[in-house]
Amino acid sequence: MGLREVEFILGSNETISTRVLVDESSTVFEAMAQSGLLPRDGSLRYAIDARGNSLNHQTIQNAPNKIRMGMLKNIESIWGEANGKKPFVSSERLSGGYLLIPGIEVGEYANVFVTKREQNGFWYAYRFRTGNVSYLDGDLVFARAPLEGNNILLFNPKTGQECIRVPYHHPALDLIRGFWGCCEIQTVAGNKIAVFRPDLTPVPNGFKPQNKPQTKPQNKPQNSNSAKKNKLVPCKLKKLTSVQTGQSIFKGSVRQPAGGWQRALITGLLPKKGTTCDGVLVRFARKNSPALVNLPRYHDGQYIFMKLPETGDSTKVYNIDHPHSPIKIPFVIQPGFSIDRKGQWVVAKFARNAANKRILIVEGSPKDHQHCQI
Amino acid sequence: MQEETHGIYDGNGNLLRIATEDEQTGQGTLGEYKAPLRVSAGASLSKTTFNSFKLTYYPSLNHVNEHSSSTTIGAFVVNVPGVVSSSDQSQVNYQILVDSRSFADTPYVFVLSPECENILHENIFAKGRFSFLPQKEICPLCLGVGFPAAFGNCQSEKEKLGLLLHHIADVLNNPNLDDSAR
Repeated sequence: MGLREVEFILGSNETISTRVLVDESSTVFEAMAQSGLLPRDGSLRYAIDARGNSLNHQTIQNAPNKIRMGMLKNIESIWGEANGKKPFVSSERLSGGYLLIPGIEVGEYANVFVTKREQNGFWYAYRFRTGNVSYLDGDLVFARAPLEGNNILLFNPKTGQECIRVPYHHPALDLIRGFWGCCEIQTVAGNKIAVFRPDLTPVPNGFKPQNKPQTKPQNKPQNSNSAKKNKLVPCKLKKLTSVQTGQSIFKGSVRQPAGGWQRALITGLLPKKGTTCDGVLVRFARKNSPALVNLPRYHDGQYIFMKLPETGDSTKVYNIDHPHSPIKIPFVIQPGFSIDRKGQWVVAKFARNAANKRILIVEGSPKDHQHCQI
Repeated sequence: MQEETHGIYDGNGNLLRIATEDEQTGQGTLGEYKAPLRVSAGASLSKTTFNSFKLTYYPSLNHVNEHSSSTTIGAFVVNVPGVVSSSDQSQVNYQILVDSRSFADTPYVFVLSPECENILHENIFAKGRFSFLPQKEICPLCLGVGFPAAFGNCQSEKEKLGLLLHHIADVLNNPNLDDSAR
């Protein structure tokens, strides 16, 4: 391996930089120690890339020519400032807000990893050590009980990532999954473990354990899709020459989300003025059938378009007051209408059951329902 | 050209003349006294200088609110790694308190932690109470007999703070058995 010259620049004061000639096989951290730019008081400093990730463990061979030195996003060097609720000590952050750190003393200087847990402007953090061993027996860390499995990842000061895998010990782990609390580092059979300390951070009585969401990435587009679906779109009703008593389905047109207008069957209360209104486009227009639109306010006796669910006996309808919380309404199928229409679009009427609760009575499909023949 | 920093005064404190280049460094004649022309009496450490060190080599620098204003630092703490003692070279972090209320003079330096009972370092005095922090027993750090002169020779505040912090680390890492304080 040959020698290579790299330039270190101090992130907090870019006028300070130095060039060092180092062996290509050495790590960036080793080269950094030679640069003379490391703090003199034992504070941490990292070589960071453009995205703020640590380069300390990389070899000089793979490092960029100019290496910026600074702190990682979730790392702070702090003084314990005031006693909080035991065992926490608080410290004001440079960026505003406060840190709560378990197991350190007021007046103690410590390097801490800031967790994702925040309550009322107080961020929870835990101390790590910069010597050969990052966590000593008896050290307290603040960690979340694993959502699955029984290991947690602690911050590794050498790599700058949460990559120290330790078993999380609690006699009934399934009951506290997802709970943030203090754990004590212990060594059992030569291996470090994190033992949950309920005496320091008791689990609330009503705590509901959480499990890892199975298909979170898939849920996201689904949610955004449903939000799009629930978005109100402009509609125009055809000029009404005469309105029959009890009529709640009208002909008109609806603007497609992608632009352009399509013919539609619109159901709901007529607008007080004019022929334009906003409705929920529940089904796009097809070659031989119009789009289906439900106007967002409902009254008894009114019709609505709904898709018969494959399972269950209730459906969800748009809630204008809380667009992201649809109203769940049970439905019954009117005798004589085929129950084999599951998964198909139907016309249902709002009514009340014996308990005076709203229900939907499925009467037919848009193709054959008498009120749709307009 | 050397700055005219000293004047020659008579016994009543009257300025006789500006000290010449030879007089700046040499001994004064009988009945004449050499003294600095300007003394920044009582001036605390400026926050600008303090912050420039905090942002570069000493991130652990932290001012003491009770002795500081928006522009000056009258006292500060800093973490300095050192050794346990001359016979035990293992590393220990010393929490240092510096009285910088009058930074023109050599500041007093104390050890806040470890506690006195746990300190074995030869150049740290036993704990006592001081007017600067009467509510707490703290251990003064012996900076050595030559330090005040070196500190006095510094031309700028930045130089003084750099020298002081470097010297504290030097003392804590190299216990001097000839200057035993405990």
